[in-house]
Amino acid sequence: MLWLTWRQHRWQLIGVAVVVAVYCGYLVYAGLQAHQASQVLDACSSGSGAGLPSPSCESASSTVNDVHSSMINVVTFGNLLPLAVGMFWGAPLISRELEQGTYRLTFTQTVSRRRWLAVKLGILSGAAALLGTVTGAVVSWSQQGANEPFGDDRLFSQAGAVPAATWVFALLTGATLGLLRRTTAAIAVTLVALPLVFAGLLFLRPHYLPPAERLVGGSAMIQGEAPSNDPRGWLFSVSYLDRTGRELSPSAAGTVCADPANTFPSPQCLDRTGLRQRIVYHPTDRYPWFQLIEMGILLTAAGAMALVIRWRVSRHLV
Amino acid sequence: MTPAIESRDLGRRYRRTWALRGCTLALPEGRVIALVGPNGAGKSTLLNLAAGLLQPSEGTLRIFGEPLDDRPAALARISYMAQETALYPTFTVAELLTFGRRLNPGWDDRWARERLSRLRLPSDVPAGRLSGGQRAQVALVLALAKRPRLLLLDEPLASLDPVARHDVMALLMESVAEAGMTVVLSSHIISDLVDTCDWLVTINQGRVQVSGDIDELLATHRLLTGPREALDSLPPRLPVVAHTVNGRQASVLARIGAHRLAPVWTVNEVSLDELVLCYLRQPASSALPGPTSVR
Amino acid sequence: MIDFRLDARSGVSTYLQLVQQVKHALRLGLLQPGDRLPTAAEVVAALAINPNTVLKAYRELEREGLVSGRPGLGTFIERSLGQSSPADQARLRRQLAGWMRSAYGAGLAREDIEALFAAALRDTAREGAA
Repeated sequence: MLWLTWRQHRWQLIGVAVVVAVYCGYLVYAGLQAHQASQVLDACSSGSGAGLPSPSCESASSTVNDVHSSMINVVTFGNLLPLAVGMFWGAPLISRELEQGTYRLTFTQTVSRRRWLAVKLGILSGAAALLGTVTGAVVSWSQQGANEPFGDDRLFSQAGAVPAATWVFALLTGATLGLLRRTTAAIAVTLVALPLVFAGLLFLRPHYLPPAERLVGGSAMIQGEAPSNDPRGWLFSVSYLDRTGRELSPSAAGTVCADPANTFPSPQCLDRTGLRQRIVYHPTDRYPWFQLIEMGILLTAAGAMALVIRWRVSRHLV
Repeated sequence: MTPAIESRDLGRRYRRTWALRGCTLALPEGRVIALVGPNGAGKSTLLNLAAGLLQPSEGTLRIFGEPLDDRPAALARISYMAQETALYPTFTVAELLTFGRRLNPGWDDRWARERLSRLRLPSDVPAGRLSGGQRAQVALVLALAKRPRLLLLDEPLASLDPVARHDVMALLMESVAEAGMTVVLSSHIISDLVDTCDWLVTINQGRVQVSGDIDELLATHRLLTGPREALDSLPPRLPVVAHTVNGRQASVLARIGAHRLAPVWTVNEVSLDELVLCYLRQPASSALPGPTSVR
Repeated sequence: MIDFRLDARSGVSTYLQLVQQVKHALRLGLLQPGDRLPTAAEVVAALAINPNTVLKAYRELEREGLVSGRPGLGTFIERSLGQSSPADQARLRRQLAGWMRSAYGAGLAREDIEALFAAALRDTAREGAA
């Protein structure tokens, strides 16, 4: 069975592995570049003190920015990698056997259908989890000092352990859709279904846990326009409360401050007016929990699909 | 002796249409059994049910006395070769042998290799590029090297040229002589089955009409010709399969048994082709109790 | 060894054809006592027929005392048919061939010769019986 799985899926396995290798290779290369450039930058800031930025420091700074922005573009594209697993590993798994009629050959050998399925899904899930783990580790490493994955829709599903679950889920989705019996149909539907599911997860993700709320004064406030993936956590909204407890939008608070130098309220303004900043967010220490919850959702769905496939394959395939 | 295949009221439905219904059969072990019927009569359905590829919608099915299930012990007893001889098209012949060896504990690799080299099949050519006859031979070697007790062949000769038909049949018959397994072979071309099969099952419109030893069937059935007026004088309980009237002459196919006939009737032996044709032309003749004894 | 062949249009059942071909070979001296008949598998591999048919033919030959099966070894010819020596056979065959050539020379067709031969065979059989 091991041999059969390898023989039937080797080109798809090799193909996806090659794409993953190129992807990770690029991220490692770019990450090293960014690392070197930021070391130069560190030297600039500590060594030259108050002097004018030298040309090499300027170029290092632009290198860091360029590399980081191109990396995040590539990582955004990396969200498509699990589609390949669903389309080329999962979808043909059963549909091709049905389409070519070879299920009649396979299911009349001395191997029970359940074992056939268990070995195939087991090996392919293992490979998917392995490749997902590798990409997750490389993406996490490459984004150190650049972007926080928590709160970044492009990055969250690509960093850490989440990809392993995403890839297994993609595999099972393709395999389940393979019950449609036509390989091309199964591939096409997988191509449409997986992005829809991933988009659904984007909407669902903020609600995995109820957000925390914090009221702070000027000393601890977030200044300027806050990114959603702040080092403090995943920010949803920043607003202001006046002494009566009335909520003000940042622009309304800016008007209260009447500070022509700043669009957003400054710490001095908060201290002066008694406004407090209200932050609705998921603190950074929730990141592992969010990863676990997303993985739990994906793996539970994958497990449910595996049961559906097993039921269909063992009794009601044709 | 336990029948190789035993079914009781076996039926299979696709949505609202019954492909096979009320199939009650007992097929003896060690025979080469011909499963004959028009296209769409339910032959494939019966073979797929016996191979465990389909689940019955109703009724029971036993193979060598045991209900069919998806355990290796049950799977090891049966080989199945499909109509279109579905092989993995990208697998080379050598890889198909590896497939068989790795998925079947009882695999006879030496025999399979010896047989393929005798058939002069190239081992490094993908199955998709073999001729239909070569594919059928590879599929049959795969089915046989598993060393099954029951071999189910669904139209193995369809779409083969005469030379390939002969070669496939010779390979099959030689293996029967060596291993003595039970073979069930479906075909709608009766001449393929003459001289190779020794048990006949006809199946028509989803129902079984006849199941019996071919020599016995030929010995008991007779073709009678005589004047049409004599039809009325036939013994009342003579089992008539079919009769036709042409002008003044009547022809009757009957299971004659010990019945005595008026001398006006000319009694002729029937060939297997004639026998099968008469039954298949008369789907209602399934009402006749066919000889179903298992010996 | 004997090579069997089948004539589907002869109307003679397959097992009888096999029996007749063995007897024919015995008469012509092509098979001699001690010769081994091909195994059922060998016959079947050449003719693509049910092995039981071959076994049935061999059983018939055994019943007539022409062959005997030795377990594990095969089926062997026990006795010959026809009492003529090979030399006699060759001489008679030569004479018959000469006669047939003269029949062709007299303008007879193959069917005429066959009919004549069969008639002569009948006549001599009748004389023998008389």
